[in-house]
Amino acid sequence: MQQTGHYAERLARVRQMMTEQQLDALLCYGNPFRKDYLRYVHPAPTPSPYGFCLLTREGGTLFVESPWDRLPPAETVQEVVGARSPSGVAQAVAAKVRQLGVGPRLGLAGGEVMESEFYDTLREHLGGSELVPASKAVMDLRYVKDAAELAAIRRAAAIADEGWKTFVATCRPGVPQYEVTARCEGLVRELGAEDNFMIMSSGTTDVYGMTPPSSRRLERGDSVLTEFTPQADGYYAQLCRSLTVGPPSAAQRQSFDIFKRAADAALAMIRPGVTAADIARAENAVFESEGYGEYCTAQYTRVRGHGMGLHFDEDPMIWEDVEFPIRAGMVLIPHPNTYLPLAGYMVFGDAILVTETGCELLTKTERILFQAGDS
Amino acid sequence: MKRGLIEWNPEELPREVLDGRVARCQALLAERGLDAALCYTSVAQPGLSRYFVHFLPYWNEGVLVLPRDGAPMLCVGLSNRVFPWIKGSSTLTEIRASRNLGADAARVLQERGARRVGLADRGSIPHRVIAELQAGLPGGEVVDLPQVVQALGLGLDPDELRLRTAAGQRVAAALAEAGGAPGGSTDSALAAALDRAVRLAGAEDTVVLVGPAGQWPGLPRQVPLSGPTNVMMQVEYKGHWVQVGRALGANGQASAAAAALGGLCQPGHTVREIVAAARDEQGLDAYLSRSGRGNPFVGLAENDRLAEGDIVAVLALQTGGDGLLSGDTFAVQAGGARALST
Repeated sequence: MQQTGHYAERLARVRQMMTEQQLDALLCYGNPFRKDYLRYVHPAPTPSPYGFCLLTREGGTLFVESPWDRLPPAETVQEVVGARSPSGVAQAVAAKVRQLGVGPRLGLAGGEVMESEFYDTLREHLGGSELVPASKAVMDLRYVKDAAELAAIRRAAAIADEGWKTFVATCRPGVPQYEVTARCEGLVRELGAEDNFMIMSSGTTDVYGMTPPSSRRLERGDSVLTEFTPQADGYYAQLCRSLTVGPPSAAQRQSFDIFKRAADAALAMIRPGVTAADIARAENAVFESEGYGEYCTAQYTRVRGHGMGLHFDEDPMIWEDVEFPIRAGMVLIPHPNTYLPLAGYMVFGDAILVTETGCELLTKTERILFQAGDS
Repeated sequence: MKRGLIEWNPEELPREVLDGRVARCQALLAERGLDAALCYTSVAQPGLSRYFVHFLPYWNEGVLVLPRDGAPMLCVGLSNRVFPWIKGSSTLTEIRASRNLGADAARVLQERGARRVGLADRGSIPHRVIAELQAGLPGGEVVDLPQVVQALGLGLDPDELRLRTAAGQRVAAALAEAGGAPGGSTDSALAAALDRAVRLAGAEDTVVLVGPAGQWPGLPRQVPLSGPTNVMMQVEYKGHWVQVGRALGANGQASAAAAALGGLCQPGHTVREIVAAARDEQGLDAYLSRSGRGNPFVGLAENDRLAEGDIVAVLALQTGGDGLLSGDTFAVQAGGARALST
């Protein structure tokens, strides 16, 4: 089937992959934990807590929980099927597969998070089709973003920039952490964000990482940090910034300088052909030169950055043993976030687009250690 | 996604309540000849780990191992740097970082000599976790432990009802604050105001859907509001979800229909019967979902039958007239349902 519209090229790539992988059809699954594979082939959001999109060479069908089948689907599908319960939805998928006479190899993307009720029902009712893991093949397509994807990520990045302004404006002594996130959350929703992954922390050398907000009230002298990750049109963009409540101490300034230089080192070397490991090494070299190499290990930090797109924490992970070659068109966030004994955990990083010659910052927030009011 | 306040307040939910649930589960395991129960948990399905140990993952996933004897322990995809937070917001004392939840849970079970293991609400567990678990327990027996919370025999747990009601009160207050759908505003601005209000009141998660009367609501798209507006809110407070449907700017026209829905949710009634009654008596196209399986709400099929102790959410759209949305969350009990969100 000749697909027209915004997603014609994407669907053509997916169907080309299906041919190469000898898949007779592709089933993409999503639930509230991970909807990214579903969203890749069905770009419109669905409030259904879970859903499937079945792509054949001829067309597509969306399967969701009722009544959410009454909402308009994306242009990538020609039919929407609803059922009242999870087993009803899974049986509807299987019935469609049988009705279409799909061949023996049915690719499954997003199966890693699929609950056994769905998986077992599909296996039982699919007839002659076998579920073939296809997440990796679809993820290979997702690394390099197309024009529509980049437009969404740029929109998410702009919302992150606005959200950070609210974050700074809200951080005052006496304000509880959860009030800060509530006000940021409200702002990003007002600007059209669908979702927002946001963790934070406040304090000094007692802070070893970020968590959901607590009822702890901000104090003068705190470092306050956040990963701010709005989702627009399905795509996430992340901004990592730190601020101090009141003027920064010498230790906070010294610590931030190390993070800034590490992030700059990553930005300076990112271009097609380098690996995720190269980026991690560039960041870590700055810490090592200051005598803080041990704080680049898993005891103190999770990763030195990661990809992003339909999921806020996509591969490739930026880590010293990930020899993944970076390509033009990928969206990453190199962030040397870790604990340092100088001023505790600190974060700093920007969403970037890898270009043919280097990278472009997608977030536009000033790259400094911010200072929030202390009144 | 959970970005709100996730804290355990022992004054609000005493330690004895959580420990009592664990003890009841351990008695159930002994009764059924099981060495341990496994409860899957994730940012999307935190219900079981919240119920037993008050662990609410803000991201990622985990498996709670609840042994027949001794304290529960957690295998979790979160980094060890946040273990202090987990310990501070739950009753957990033993936690292991895990990249392969099923395999690591199997290792824990082997270390403890557990051979016969019950999968709590098996259908909600990712099949890959079950496959890893089975591969890691050669010679062991993995059996289903369905509807584990209901099987504890606590019926309508008063602490559960109290916190669900607290969630419902937050929704009601936010909707009252929003008043009618503000003319000149957008669906996104309305959703933002509701979201902000419940988070400032301590909610950890929300879903807000908005749409014009006559339609099922959807995700806000910065569309200007005009006239009566249908709103669906799901709100999580201390892990307790409620769902509400309302028509704003409709002068309360849908409230009678919403109240009538509760009257239909009787123990023993099937979803088919309730849906038919809603259609024939109230002119409503109704959908029911039940809290369980670790999820906030799971859609119920027409053959499903309500039982005393169920927490169900009903969402309904007028099939005629103005197409107004209504719905509440109910505790099903003998003699009728009790609304938790009005």
